[in-house]
Amino acid sequence: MKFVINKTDIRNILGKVQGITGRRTNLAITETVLIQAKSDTVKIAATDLETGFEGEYPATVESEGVIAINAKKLYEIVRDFPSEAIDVNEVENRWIEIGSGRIEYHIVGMNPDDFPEIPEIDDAPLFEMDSRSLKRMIEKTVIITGATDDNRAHINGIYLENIADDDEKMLKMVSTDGSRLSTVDYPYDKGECPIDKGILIPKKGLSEVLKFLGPEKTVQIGLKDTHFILKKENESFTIRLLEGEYPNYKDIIVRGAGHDIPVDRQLFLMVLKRMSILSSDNYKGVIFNFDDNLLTVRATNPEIGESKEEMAIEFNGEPVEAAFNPKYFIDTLGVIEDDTAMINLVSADKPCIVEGENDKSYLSIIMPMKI
Amino acid sequence: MPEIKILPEILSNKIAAGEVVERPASVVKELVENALDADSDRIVISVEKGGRALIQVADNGTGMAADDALLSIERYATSKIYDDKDLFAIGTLGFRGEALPSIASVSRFVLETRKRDADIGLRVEMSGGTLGRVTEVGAPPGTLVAVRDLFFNTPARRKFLKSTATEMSHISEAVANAAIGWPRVAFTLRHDGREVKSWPAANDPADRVADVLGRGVGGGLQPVSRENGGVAVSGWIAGPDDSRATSRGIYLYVNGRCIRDRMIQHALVAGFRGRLMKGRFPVAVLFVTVPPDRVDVNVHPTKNEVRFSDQQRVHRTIEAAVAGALMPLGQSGWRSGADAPTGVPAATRIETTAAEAPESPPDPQPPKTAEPPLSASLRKPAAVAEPAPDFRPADDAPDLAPRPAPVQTPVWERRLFRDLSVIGQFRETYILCESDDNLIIIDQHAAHERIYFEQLRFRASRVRQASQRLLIPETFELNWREAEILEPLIPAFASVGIDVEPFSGRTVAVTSLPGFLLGKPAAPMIIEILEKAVDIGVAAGIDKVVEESLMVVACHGAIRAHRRLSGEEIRHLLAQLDACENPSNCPHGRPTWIKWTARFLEKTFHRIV
Ligand SMILES: Nc1ncnc2c1ncn2[C@@H]1O[C@H](COP(=O)(O)OP(=O)(O)OP(=O)(O)O)[C@@H](O)[C@H]1O
Ligand SMILES: [Mg+2]
Repeated sequence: MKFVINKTDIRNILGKVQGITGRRTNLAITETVLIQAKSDTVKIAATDLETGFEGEYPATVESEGVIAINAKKLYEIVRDFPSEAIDVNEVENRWIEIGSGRIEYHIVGMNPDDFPEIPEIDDAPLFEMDSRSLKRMIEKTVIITGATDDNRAHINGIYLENIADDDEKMLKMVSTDGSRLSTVDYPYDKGECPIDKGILIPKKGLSEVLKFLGPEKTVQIGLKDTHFILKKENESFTIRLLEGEYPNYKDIIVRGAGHDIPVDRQLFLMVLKRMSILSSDNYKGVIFNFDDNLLTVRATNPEIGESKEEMAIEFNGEPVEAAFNPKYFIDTLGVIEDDTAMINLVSADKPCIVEGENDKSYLSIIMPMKI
Repeated sequence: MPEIKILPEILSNKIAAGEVVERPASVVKELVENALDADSDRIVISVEKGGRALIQVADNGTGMAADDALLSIERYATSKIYDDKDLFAIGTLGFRGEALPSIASVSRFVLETRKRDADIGLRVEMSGGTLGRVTEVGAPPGTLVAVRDLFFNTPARRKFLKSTATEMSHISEAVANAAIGWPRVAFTLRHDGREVKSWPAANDPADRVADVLGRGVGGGLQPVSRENGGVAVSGWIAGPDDSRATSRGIYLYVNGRCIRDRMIQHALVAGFRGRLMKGRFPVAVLFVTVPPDRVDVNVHPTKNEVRFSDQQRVHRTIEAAVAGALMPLGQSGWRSGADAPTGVPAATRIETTAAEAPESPPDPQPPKTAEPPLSASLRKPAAVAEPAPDFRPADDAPDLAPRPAPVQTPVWERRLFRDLSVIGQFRETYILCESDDNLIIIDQHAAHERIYFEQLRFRASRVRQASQRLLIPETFELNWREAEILEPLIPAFASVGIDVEPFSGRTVAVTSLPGFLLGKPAAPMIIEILEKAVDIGVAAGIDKVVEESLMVVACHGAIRAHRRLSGEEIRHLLAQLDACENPSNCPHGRPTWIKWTARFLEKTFHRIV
């Protein structure tokens, strides 16, 4: 096998698959990328056994063939390669030469036959959606994650649901870590989404997808057996779905007797960022006190010290006080797109709703802390 | 010694009659106790065939007058107590007047005794409980009891005797028990004519203890001493490194009486505060002294159990005494210890290291596990036991692993974890550090468990910290035993920020969690705690259960093995260890760190012999 490929092309792809190939599995071969040279393209594949990636890129193929080569090593070699065109050549059985002439690297490949199979997408029905919107949806939801060793499906996965009523059709993504929950909507009127029931897609896989969502206008999503699929012109992902129950999130989102309090998103964000200077492993909470047109935020950390900030708001209801982990608010305010965020707070022990003033497609529910 | 009286019948009924003689060792114990009660300072025990053929105890104590000697072999004849009151204030080892007659009834028995001021002694012979010849005899002052053919007339019991070696080990144990309790008395134990043990009178009780425990305790003994409201505890304990798999290294004395007592043993282990691994027992000698009227020694026919009127105080005093004695061991003394090199000039050390170390600065990344990534396609699962180290010849595999560069040796002694220079992480499980001439290896999970455990204890005892309410409470089902034991534990859970509420039936819901437990399922942890609690039983005291619970919580919150830590995380961990009261053991007692001295490595590499 022998081909020549553009350095920038292969560098970008290899950079983006490191998240997949760098993940520990019990197969050493998942650290490699599978490269298949055929006519005038190379096909690059990577998998962590849960998320599979395949992309096809133009190349000058001199002789066809297939290799499995350590993704990290190849990336490091290619990344700082001094010439724009890179020769890749399987000199003999699994002895792979990169470069030629003055710069030559030889890397031992693995047996490409051992490379795990990535499910074929072929004829699965797909739904076309706006690529930028999908990207934003994923961005807004994957920030909520559990601990690395948590394997509860509802925490590890993002719930994707297709709501198709007579009057409105939309896709909804839901994400939670048990203490907070966010939902993002994607209303649509064209096409039919083949995802009929709610599915749980691993957050890990979706964050890998995120790296590949770029300038293209649209992408296609769908289901193939137990896999979520996402397809662009020349690249595709298959992510194995998680199995498990998802909590009934609609019951959790209740707009109770609380007040809708508008706050300046940027200002509030800055207050909270400063406030979290005082939070440590043991002391994470800050106290919000909503009083007559004044929001007072306080933090007390016996290990470090105390802080207090005041912020003018529009509020004239009964004073409310509640403690929160400021990080949750920072995450949420960071992805709200409106300048004004609406906070709906009922009491110190009821969930608090945060959303944009106008854009209601994103909503976050945050549970207070208990002091 | 006062004369022997027959106990009034009522009183004798109060005294638990029972099996006194279980095996040869019980005979030894009873006879030795009699000798001790008679103020002897030299006791010679001679045994033949593991006690089957002969058990003979000779003392140089007060001896008995002729009529007392004859009385002594009658049941309930004792010179040691007279009435009810005495029974509750016993200061002697014997008090029932039961031992001699019991022994005499199952053996061929000879008693020879002479009072110091008497001209001649008396010899009494018995067989299977019937009195035989009684003769005057020339004898040294003191008493000699010879017990032959034990159980000759109860063949069933004779059959149950174990091998000579086993019976002998029980006998040695009995003699050791007495020897530790009575350091000023010289003991000699002979078996089949050979001297097995010989402990000369010791002026300092510590000498006797060292003599008896012998080579078993490498790390040395820590003195224990504490007094609290009439309860005094003294003795010695060995550090956790000298722990044993059985409780046989524990010698407990209450008012001089050697006993087995679960409560005391529990207090002793509790005093180790998690320095001991589960299922390990310390080596310890503890003397508990309480006013005689505050302890009942008449609990068991073999007199090796007692009951205290103020259990709690005794428990607390012992636990505190032990914890106090161990305090100096808690420090991370990698400069101390037997094999730590001493007095190696710092300059020499730097020179040699500099000569060996490559020029390049140390790689902050730990050396990757030597795993040829491209050869084997199936990676071995992490849990598989480590195979023997693969020491390839040096020319085959050039040593590419970064070596620590020389570091400046500070003028002062380094003892803090945070002062260790971190070499890296091994197998994403151990943190390798360097300290002077030592390689310090820290188990990241054990260390972190210790940190969380102490933080939790602190949190439970003092500081209220906010915990996170769950948006989606975690619900799970308990079995009825767990559900039952949960109830009294709810406040304890709440005190560390875990809110558990009965939901419906046997289903419970976790509604809030402290920060470090967030993002992980709480159910397995709660269930583990409840299973433990069921095991321990709330009767053992809620504190005990809470302590165990905190261990489980700490374990669940702690970083696991096989997790890569950043340099920042490692430094944070070391600093937190420094803040711990006992940084050297995880709450379960496993060590958090071990040390390899340069000397050990040099020896292993045959650089020195
Ligand atoms: N070695 C001895 N020296 C002097 N007196 C002894 C000796 N052995 C026994 N006696 C006397 O014989 C009595 C009976 O002994 P025995 O062991 O049967 O009973 P005890 O020691 O009083 O009570 P216990 O049954 O609890 O041991 C003792 O009270 C003591 O007065
Ligand atoms: Mg006696």
